[in-house]
Amino acid sequence: MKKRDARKDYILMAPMALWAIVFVGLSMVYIIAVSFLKSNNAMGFTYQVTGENYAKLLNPTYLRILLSSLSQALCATVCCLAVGYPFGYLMARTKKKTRSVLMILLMAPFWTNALIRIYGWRILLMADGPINLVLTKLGWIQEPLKMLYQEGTVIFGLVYALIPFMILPSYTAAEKLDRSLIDASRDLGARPWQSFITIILPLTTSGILAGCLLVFIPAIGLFFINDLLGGGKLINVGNLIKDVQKTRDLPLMAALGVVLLAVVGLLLYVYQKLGGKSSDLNVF
Amino acid sequence: MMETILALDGIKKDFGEGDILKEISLQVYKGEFITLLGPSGCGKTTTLRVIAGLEEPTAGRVSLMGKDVTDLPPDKRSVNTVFQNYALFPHMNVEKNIGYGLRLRGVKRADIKKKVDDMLEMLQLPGYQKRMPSQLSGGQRQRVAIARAIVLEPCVLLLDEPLGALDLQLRRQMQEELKKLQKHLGMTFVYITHDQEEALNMSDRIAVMREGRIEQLGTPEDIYERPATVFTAGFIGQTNLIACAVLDTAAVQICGVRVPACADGFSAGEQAVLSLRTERVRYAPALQGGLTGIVRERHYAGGTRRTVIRLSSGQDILAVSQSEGSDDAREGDCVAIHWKPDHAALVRGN
Repeated sequence: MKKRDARKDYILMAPMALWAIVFVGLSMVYIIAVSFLKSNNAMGFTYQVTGENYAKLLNPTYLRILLSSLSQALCATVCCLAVGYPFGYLMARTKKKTRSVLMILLMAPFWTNALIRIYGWRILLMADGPINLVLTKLGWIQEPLKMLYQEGTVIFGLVYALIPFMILPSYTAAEKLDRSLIDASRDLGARPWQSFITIILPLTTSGILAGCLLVFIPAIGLFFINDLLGGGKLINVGNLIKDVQKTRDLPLMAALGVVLLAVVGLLLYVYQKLGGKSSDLNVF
Repeated sequence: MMETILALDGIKKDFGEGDILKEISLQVYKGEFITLLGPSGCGKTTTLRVIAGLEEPTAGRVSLMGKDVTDLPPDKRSVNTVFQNYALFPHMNVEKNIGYGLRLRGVKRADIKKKVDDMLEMLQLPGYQKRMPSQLSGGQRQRVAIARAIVLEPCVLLLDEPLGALDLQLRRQMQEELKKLQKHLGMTFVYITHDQEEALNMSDRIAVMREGRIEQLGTPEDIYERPATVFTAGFIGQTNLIACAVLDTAAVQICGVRVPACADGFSAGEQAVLSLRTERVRYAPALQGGLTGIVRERHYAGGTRRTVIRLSSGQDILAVSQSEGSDDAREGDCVAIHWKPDHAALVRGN
């Protein structure tokens, strides 16, 4: 067989690499650089190296927001895992026909912009929205339920928006799982839950890890769900960046961005340490 | 009187798309090697899964050592399975795989280690404790799968085509080893295969299965020498199936010629099929009368010679003979065909 020409591969990769360097690499370098410059309200920033932007972030308010957005994301991830993993697992166990129907249902929402879908939920959940209307008409409730602007609603919104990213890798992992291994464990004396702990769980960990990562990372920064369903009561790092934008403090925004980037980088590092593969993150 | 260890009583299984098992009743004796033999799709594996508890029968009872276990889950039955594709746990090394069942039973760590080591010793895999299944050859995986099941000392070991994935040479070797192992342990084996040679070689008894029923149950000799049906006769060994009419209890008529045959249990005038093993057919130059045919083809096949003889009815009879004893029959010769009456079995057509 002819040996592959490595140079040819590089040439073929060049357009993609160029795209990545210009639109991802350079802008990232720019943000990192700006985060170390002195802010200037009129101009955005002046060319003067400083660490004061990061020092500002040590302010308890910012720390609290960072912490609360992490806990919000964690909460959403746990909920997604609790619902999405069993869903993905069971989906892999259904007949081929049912499976493709479920898959289409799962994909259908992606045809509409997430912002618009969340707007839809906002209307549904409003005090005089359809849900309250129906419940009142049915006489099940006297007062309209206060569903909007609750912390739980924000979590619900995050779960709603991100759950496919948990289901799909779970499904992929479960589908790859050889059914006869479960039979073998049962045959060797494992009760159903023991079979789950010793065989199913370890052999679908890749899906769980990938799903958690794919949900957690966007959950830290999805600002519009907090805006639309939380009414600005709750804010995460994404909201913060958006708010700081109003003050035109470009270096501070950049520093926030860098912190977010560092969190994501750390998560990816942990993911790889736990044995996660980057190919498992390719769910579509 | 042999002790029954496993009994299937009127087992039926329907997956909603027709019966897979129509009616299986079978008694398995303690310490025997019994084989379920049949073509794919005949329900062998389903029968095994019903015994293991991995499949619930639609009707019928399974009892183990006299106790009804039909409603017990697989983990509560003293039955273990060697799966067709081995089903070794890919995330556990050999030691963990073999010790899996023992760990679930709460056996002490040191005892598990000792048992696993003994098992690997017995199956000629010493020092393989830390290998992962992916690092083993097919034959080695096979041994680990067997070790994992027999270490639990089940009442009955179920083996689902365990040698199916191995190459021919390794298969022969493993057949012998398995048989030895079974004798050595004195364990009851229920073995599944679609390979009739394997079944004849290894089994104490064979249950020939067809379309969800047991067609015939008997020793390898019974099955081979005295097939009860056309299906069994045709499925096991190479055989000539010749349509005939029963004349009396000692003779049948083939192509208008009276041929001696054991026809006990048949009535005169009944249509039947004579099963004649290819290696039992003898022929000689036709001098007078008898069943004759024309030699159509002659093939030299090393140790044996294959001769195709066409009867006057147009049916071809295959005769396989030792090639050392040369005969001078040539293509086109007219030969008389004969055999010892007890070398042919008369069966009812279906």
